[in-house]
Amino acid sequence: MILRFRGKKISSLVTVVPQHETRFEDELGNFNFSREKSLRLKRVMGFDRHRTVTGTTCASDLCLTGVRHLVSTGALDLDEIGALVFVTQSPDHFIPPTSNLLQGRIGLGRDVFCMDINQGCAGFVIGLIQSFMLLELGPIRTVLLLNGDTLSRRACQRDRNIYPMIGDAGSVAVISNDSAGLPITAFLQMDGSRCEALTVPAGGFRMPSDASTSIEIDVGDGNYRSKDQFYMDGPAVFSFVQTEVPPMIDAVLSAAGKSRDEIEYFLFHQPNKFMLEKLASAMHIDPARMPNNVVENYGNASSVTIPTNIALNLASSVTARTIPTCMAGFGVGLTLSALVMDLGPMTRCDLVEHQDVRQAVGVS
Amino acid sequence: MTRGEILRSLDELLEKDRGTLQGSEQLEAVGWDSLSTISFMALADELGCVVNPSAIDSCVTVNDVVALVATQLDRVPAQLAGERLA
Repeated sequence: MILRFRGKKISSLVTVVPQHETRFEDELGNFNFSREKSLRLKRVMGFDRHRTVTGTTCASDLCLTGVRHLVSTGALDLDEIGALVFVTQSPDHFIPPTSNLLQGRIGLGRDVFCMDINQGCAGFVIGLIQSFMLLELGPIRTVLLLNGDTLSRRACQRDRNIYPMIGDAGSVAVISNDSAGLPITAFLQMDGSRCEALTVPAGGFRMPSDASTSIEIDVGDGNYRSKDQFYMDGPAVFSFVQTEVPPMIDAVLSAAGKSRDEIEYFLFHQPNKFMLEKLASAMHIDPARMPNNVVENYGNASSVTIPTNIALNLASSVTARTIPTCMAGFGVGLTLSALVMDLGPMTRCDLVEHQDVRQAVGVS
Repeated sequence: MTRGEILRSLDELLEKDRGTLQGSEQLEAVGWDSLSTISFMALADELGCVVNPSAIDSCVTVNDVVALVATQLDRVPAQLAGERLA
């Protein structure tokens, strides 16, 4: 479906990555493949290094670092916040909602609408859509959109299909009404019939975790994984992206009444460099206008790759001027999301590091 | 693109010397893996062909994989000719 909004802006954005970095070549020994085969994967997919949390650091911890950064730099006034939206597949607990936990930890007032959204790679755009809808309600003037995932903790380190590309990260976007009132066009589609292509099978109520679900076994292609861990059917996901993303971009641009040339940057979710290169080529978009360097530097942190992309590649320009963009997410669900929206000028756009420390928080 | 040219693209895709693959090889023997499947889907897309991953899963030999693209490429001139006649 196509959704239309008017007069919303991201006034500030910060992306938070863990300090801990590992290089693909240092992890080759974990995989049940020859060094030569793993290096071919590195070359084709563009893997190099990634950032992962250590210990029990949660996505909410990364986001909290981001909130504190924005407050300390004067880019965020906590009294203005009317809603907190947390998009994650790595909640602190099943119960309570992590957004409520964060509200308490940040110290926000009680008149704040808190909600968790379980979404992955399409989740930055979905979080923006939800934030725009909340801003239509009247009393809510500013929405704090938090995106975060620490899926490295759910990926088997012996699964070459998934572990090398995973990164952990969090982001905080401050969303508010904009008097300029420019139109925003969104595209959203879900296909639950294909949801098994990306899943963590056990650990919920359908297949509770037990001793058997935690056993890592060779799944038949040389990769090891347990039912408690993240599974991705790589070829099925690639097929989904290859067939569905180009028509989605055509549809959202057409609905927005814009040509590809009028978009300065195509800010797509980044599963790996290979997929982005193929999409740019299939859509005849100059690769310079579709940055693809997030995974090689930080890893794929599901819904945080778009904020990371903006903070890594556009920080100086997006704080100085307005940039016409087309954002797109695609992944778990399976979900497709896209947004044609002008970004900037933002008050702040930063990329900061989170230092893992044992956080004395939680629910007893 | 001829079947021979597709074989040469597969040489490149599997990082083998040009002319290595003959077609009759078992996929397992040439080191075919999920990365090869994804790379082949990308190659097919560049040639204007649609290849379903489950179709690749049922292939046994290199020739089976080549056929997934070759049969679609063979059809293109006939379709174009049909459209012109119409």
